[in-house]
Amino acid sequence: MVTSFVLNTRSEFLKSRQTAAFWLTVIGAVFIPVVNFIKLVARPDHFVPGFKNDPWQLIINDNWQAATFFLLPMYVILVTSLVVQIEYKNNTWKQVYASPRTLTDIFFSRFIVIHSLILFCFIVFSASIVLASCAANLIQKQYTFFDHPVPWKGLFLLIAKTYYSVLAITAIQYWLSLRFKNFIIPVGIGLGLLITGFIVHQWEQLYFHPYMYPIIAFWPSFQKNTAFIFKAQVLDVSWFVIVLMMAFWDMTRRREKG
Amino acid sequence: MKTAIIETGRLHFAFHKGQKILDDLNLQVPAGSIYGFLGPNGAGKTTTLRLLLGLLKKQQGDITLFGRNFQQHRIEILRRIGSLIEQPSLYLHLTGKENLEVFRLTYRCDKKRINEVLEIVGLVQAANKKAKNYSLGMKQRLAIAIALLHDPELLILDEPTNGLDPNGIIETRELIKQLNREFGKTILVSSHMLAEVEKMATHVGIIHKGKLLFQGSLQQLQQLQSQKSAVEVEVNDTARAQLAIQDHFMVKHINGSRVVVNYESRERSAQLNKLLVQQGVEVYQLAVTQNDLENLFIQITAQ
Repeated sequence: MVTSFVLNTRSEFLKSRQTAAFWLTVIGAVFIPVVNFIKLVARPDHFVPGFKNDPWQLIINDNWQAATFFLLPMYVILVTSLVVQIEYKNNTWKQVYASPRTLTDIFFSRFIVIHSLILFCFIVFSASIVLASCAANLIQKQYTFFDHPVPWKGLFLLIAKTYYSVLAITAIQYWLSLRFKNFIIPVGIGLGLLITGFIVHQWEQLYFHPYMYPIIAFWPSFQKNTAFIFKAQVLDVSWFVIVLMMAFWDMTRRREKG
Repeated sequence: MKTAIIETGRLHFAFHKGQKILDDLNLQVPAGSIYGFLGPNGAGKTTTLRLLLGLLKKQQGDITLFGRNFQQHRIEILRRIGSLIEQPSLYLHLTGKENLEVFRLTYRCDKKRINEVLEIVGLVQAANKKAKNYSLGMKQRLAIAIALLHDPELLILDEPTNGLDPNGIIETRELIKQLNREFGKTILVSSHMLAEVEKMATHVGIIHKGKLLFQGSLQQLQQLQSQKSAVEVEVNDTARAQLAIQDHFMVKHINGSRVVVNYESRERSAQLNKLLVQQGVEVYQLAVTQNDLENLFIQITAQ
């Protein structure tokens, strides 16, 4: 059973090769570091003084904050739908369901692919920040990136924190993507919920809003209120588990498969 | 009849209450046969095949494959089936070989099987081409290769010649016959073309408006067809013609300048012509009515 699941997950990985989901992951991961690279190279007069003492911490924070505000939730919404769309687009759901696979296997192997792509994106993003900063330092010698060690541990913790913050979004978007054949519907709903979050961002109970967790985790104004962050973290994992269970239940009960 | 590999008992299905798609369907597909599942579009063929593969939730009736209940032994049964439902299910961004690799992992079969099935369907040369660049016929063959990958005992093919050019139709038909003859596969193949089924099937099931109107061997169908066939004779005077033949033939009806009688044999058709000519009736045309599916349906349903 475990072997079957591992093999089927490998098969799911193979399907996502060279798809829009894969390229979105790669391009999405390098986009902000490339913009920051241009920024650093174009205006050293403006940035060198600020980056003197702790350049890595500053550049990492700059990049991650820019990402988590809008691009990160947007990427999660898109990549989840794109991975599920591989089957809808190619009309292959019927072949998947007509193969000797349990419904649990079909449901979770794809979800693992989505999560792997998201983690891959975070790792490439972090590596790109380091590479882009070093490259900028090679061109503009005034920067001090080479004089300071890269805070690998801090980067790893950032990846873990960010990954945790998007769990609820992945579960909700996965359910929506499985439910609707039309790509626009889950993306539209996801985007709508994200924008709703921005509109109500001053709401004192914002920790209920699953699409706001990345912002709550990173935005400086929330960091002072630890109780608020804790609530958001508990609710994040609760949304994740409950919605995932509902999505699976919904899939098993569907009259028509594929 | 040999042991049935597929059996459905009193199968009913409706997408909406009151709109029956399948009505008391009792299908029996014998082991080792090519079972032609015939019916016009919307007759319930695809619904039946989707039910057999678990793509639709069963509502009423029993589905047994390889002597086992489908619901209780889904995985075990699906391991022994290769299928192609409606259009080919392929990952167009992957090559032919990669498509097979996706399913090889699921079916847990040997890597060398990929080349074997590519050879069977004649796609070795195009194995590294992306599926999106395949012609429809090639896509269909690749889909059959996927269905064959795990060397299943049973193949369920839904209209595999749909949309193919005449050459593609012949190739697919020959492949189906070869798979049955050389590899001993039982094949359930649906089609809306009687002529197509006649050329490859050993057994036939005819479905119309969700009901199975006929089920039996091809010979039994051919017998029924000849019983139901008619001879149409175009003459100058239908009244005189009717008088001339009434002692020897049963006139079914008069259709304009044509007299229609039951078809019996070639010899009897010649005798009919002779009688008319001898009685001075001018015969312009004499033809056995084309027994296409539509006519056969009308005849069978009128029974």
